[in-house]
Amino acid sequence: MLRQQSLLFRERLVTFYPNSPRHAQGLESTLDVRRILGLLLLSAACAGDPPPPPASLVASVLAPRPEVLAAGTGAMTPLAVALAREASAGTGLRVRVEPSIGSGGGIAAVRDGAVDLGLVSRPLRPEEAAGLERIDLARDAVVLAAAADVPVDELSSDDLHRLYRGELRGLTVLLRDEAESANAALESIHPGLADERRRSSAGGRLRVLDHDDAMAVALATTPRAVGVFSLGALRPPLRALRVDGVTPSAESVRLGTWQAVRTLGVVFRPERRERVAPFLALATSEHGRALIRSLGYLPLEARR
Amino acid sequence: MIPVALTRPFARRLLPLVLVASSLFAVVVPVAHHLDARSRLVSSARERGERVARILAEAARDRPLLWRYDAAKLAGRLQLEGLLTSPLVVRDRDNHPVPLGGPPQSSVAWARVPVEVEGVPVATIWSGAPLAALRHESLRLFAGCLLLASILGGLLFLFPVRTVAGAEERIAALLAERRVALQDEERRRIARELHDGAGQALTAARLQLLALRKRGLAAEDAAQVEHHLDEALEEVRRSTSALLPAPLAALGFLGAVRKHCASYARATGVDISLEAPDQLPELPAPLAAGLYRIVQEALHNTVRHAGAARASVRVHHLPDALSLEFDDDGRGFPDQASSQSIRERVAGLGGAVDWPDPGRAHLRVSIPLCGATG
Repeated sequence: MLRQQSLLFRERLVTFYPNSPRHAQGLESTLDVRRILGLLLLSAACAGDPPPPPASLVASVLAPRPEVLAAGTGAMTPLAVALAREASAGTGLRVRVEPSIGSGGGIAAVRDGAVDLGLVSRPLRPEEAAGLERIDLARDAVVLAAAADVPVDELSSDDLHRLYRGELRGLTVLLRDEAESANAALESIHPGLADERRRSSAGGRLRVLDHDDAMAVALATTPRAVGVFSLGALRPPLRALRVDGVTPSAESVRLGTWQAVRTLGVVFRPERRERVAPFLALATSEHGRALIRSLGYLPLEARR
Repeated sequence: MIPVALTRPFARRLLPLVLVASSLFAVVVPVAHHLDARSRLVSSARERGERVARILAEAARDRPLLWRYDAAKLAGRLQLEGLLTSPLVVRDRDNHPVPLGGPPQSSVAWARVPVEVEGVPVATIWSGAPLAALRHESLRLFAGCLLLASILGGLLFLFPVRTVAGAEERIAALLAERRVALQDEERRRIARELHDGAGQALTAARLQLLALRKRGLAAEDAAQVEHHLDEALEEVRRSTSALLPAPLAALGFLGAVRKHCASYARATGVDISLEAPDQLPELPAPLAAGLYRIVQEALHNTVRHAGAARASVRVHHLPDALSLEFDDDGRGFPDQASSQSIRERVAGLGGAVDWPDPGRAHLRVSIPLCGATG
């Protein structure tokens, strides 16, 4: 095709320049220009890398493992680790708790069969709940954790708003990411807090952490840091600040005086129930509930 | 006007060159811009992909088994850092999608960036650069270049063609003038030949016949011969008069001078002004021819020697003479020889030349009318 066009082009130009052999050279150079233009267009069209290939539609399933694999919200990691250790000691069941991937990640991993137990700290959406079983194990207080060098023990609701707006001088505010269930628990009882958090995040006035383990490290290493955290995961020298005179604790959660609360539970596929049954039996047993209480969580009666 | 075929062949040869040059301009500029901008977009996308890769590598290092299920947190972090404003595709090493969000993926140039943890590939990122805006921009630039190329091409074609057309007209005028000059030269040569040859011979014969009659030749016979010779002489005079410059014969002296000034101005580009009375008494043909040649010669000197841009010719009718005055804004004549021909002609007509300032080409020629007619 290109060759034919070149010949046609040559014939047309010969019509204009009939008698000079030098015109043939001119034709060649003109045709070369056409080739160069073609190459330029081709290279312009091909700049960059090939597009991504079609994705694999097969669910990602990890290779079968001897131990039970648990993953999900970081708020439940201390509880799951303690239960796993107890289960291993009591029944020989090996349970491995992976670092936090969030409730949504835990649910997706369970659905894919990548893990046996998903650790969740929020209600499941209808499309997430389909085909999964859920067992709630405890209630967890969402608190404002403070490092040892923070000079206050208590905040008022107004202070909390000012803190979120970045107006409390001398304190470094650490908040969780948008998808974190701790935000919903705290912000549901303090109207307007969510908007203030988003504005401050967008304005770069607050530091946002993605995971509980990252929050724990940040609270421990940042001077005068105050951050949103799980009471059950709180370990000295970190401490929980009182808000409006209420001290966060399992008891205040039980009494309902501390209202920033979320429910912790596990999800699993029914066909894996047998595999996770020893863990669930321990978690819902009196021994397990006592263990949960000892960690600072409020244990729940087992229910589906 | 002699036809000089320059413009059409020139236009035929110029047109394809102008078309090729204009087309190249109209195409190469937008293509080069598109190429460069696309390359920069891909580089920018690759840079963004490398930033995403560092974040994903950190996530994969912390959560080697399940990092891809942490997509929501990763997406939040990428969103916070402004890395999800363009299409982004992430696949783990088994080509399973990692849903991180990002805008739709139509018309995108991709930059592929691998994600590795300690040298082990864990994922691949395709960072996309949307091309729709660039395509619109390139199309707009192409339209602009096409318009500009059309204008430039038109100018590149029209200016040379108009210049050549003007040159063609000037060459035609010069050729026509040259032809007239050649004709005049030839006529003058023939007239000189007749005058110097046949005219002299006939005059001599007449004189001889007169001498013979004085020595007793029959007066009647001699008168007859003399009559025939007079007729021959008159015939030669009529013939030489008919060989005068053609414009003189057609337009008369003033008309011929006006026509020559106008055509010479057109041919040379010199601004020539003519001042002359509306009418002159009828001039004898040799006098008119001589005056006309003087005008031609003076204007020729103005162009050839003086390098003038403006010239003036004034014709004055005095009671017993005719005066011609020439002036221009040039640098004057280099020497006396430049006006020698004029001096000879004026002398031949019994007139005088006044050249008051040798540094200027300002000449005054005065021809007595009675002397010239004699």
